[in-house]
Amino acid sequence: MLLIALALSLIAGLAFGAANIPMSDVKAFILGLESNNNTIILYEIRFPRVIAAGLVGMALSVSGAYMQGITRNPLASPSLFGITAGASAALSFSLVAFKNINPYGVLLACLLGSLTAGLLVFSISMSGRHSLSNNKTILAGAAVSTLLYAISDAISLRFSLSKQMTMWASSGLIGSSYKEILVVLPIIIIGLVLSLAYSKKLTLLSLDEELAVSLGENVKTLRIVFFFMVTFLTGSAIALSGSIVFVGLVVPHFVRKLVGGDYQRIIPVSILVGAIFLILADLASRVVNIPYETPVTAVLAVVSYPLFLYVVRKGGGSIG
Amino acid sequence: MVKHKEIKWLSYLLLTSLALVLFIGGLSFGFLKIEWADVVRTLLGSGEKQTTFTIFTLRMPRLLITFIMGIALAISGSVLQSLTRNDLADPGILGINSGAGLGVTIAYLFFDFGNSNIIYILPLMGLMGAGVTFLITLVFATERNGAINVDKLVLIGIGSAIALSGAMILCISSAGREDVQFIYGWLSGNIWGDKWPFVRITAPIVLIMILWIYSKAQTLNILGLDDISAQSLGVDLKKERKLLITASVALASIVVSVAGSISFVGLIIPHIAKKTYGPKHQYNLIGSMLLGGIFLMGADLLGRNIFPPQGLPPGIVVSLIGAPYFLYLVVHNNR
Repeated sequence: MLLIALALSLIAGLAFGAANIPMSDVKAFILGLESNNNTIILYEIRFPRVIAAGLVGMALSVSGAYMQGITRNPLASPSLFGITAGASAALSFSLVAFKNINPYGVLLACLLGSLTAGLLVFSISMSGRHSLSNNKTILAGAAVSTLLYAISDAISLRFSLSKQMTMWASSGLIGSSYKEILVVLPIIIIGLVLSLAYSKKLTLLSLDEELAVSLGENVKTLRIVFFFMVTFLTGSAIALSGSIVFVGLVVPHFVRKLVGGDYQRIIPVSILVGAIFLILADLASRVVNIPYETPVTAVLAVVSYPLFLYVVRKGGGSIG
Repeated sequence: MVKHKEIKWLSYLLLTSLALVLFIGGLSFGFLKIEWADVVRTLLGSGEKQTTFTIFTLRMPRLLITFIMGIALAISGSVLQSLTRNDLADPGILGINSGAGLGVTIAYLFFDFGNSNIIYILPLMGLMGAGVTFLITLVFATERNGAINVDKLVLIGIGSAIALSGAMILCISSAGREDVQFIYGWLSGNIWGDKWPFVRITAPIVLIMILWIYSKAQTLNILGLDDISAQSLGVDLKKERKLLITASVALASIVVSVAGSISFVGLIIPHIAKKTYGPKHQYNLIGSMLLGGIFLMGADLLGRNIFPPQGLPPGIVVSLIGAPYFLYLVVHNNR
């Protein structure tokens, strides 16, 4: 059923926008039947964008699910952990250092940035007597986020990059091209495959750490693997789309309501729901204010806010 | 901590003179450097036309508004910290700023900014937006037994700030393209209301509210204790708390709506003031006031003079200093 929903949202994402394209042309494009102006629009603009939205949605949702699983903190998610901000700051650095940066450079910068920020937040939250599930982690993430955003704002203002950065930060999906997608595609696919493969161990870890240890799992190694997986997925998603917030928080919660606490089911369903969610959000950002684009982040923030409030209100206790 | 009364008063005097020096320095420095002698001459009313314009029309209102804003944010943060008994409380972090921002955005959509009434409408809208946001935050942060969970309060505030800035962009971008720049400027803490009318409207309001809050210093001391001792001292907890929270939200939202979103002043300054002047609000509120004004005025001066001509918005300068401090507090918060 989710697959059907995904297909429907794909088609909707293709058909609607500044110029609505008749269904017959969408059909012609998908089946590769004929070529006219509309199918060229679809091929050149809409299709890569929808694909990019889908990939980003998948990557961020899985990252969020994994972070919530490892930390047992219902609020864990890439943007609240400062990973998004890290990628953003690293990108502004690299834009200053290298004027004409290619997609590989963007990807590298974002990966390095998210790794650094992630390491920083995790090491802060591990220090002291508190565990990862403590809200301290989220607060540390928020503090690191603010600092990194301030740095990246300062850099972009100083070197007059604000236009480039704003474009990238708020609506990066607009300019998605096949080239950019191909650069990040391998990493996202590897990340998703790994996340599916490890989902059983994640369930174990999220339920009971001691049980995992007694079953012979090396919890430390698993944590490290998961950490790299999450930061790579997030970093590459952000390289493709700009800073997108709340997806990694909202989607796993929604999915958990649907399928329960077993990550072997949460992860695949999150992949699908994440893709649908972001494709629809991107669609909304295009049609809210035709012919202008509204930053997709703004749409996401507004849509996700009530759910965020709900999660915080219920939160505090651990989740399965 | 400074123990002796005399030394406390002496330090206030020192801070006041520091503020004055910064103020005169701020009149002198900038894109166009004005010699100190010329500054003094112009202040006495016998300057050249150009320097008179620069000093009285451009620089002075901006210095005053940043000073007033710093005071208001610091006091607001101080009261919020005492009431929630949480070191992390700050109008920016608790989402009050962004609530005010949404109010301003809505005002921006429905009212003409050329209108002279706008200086009254803006603070009012900001106040309403902030009030609603803070109510939501409070409701969602209150546990079933009626106690406020301070961790949740901060978390919801952070989330609200993200979500509401999204809402602002959404509102603005559905209105018109060119306005987006205004909202981005507001969000990054750029002081835009740096004209005399804004000084004239905020100064009296801030002054009155601060005097009122200062008259409640003893109540604040008691509310900072645990509830049982406060009650036994005969304080109507609920009523006083509500009044003081309303005042601090109003204080922050009014300055933020006429100037721009600035976080962390209300976090750092009260903290330093309480460390220096001790837990008695009779003393640390004065400290917060002076330090807050100096801090924001200084941050704006610094931001404008590092990268001329357009400079860095003071909001970013403050964040660059404040975020590491916030991080430090998170790590060392031993609750």
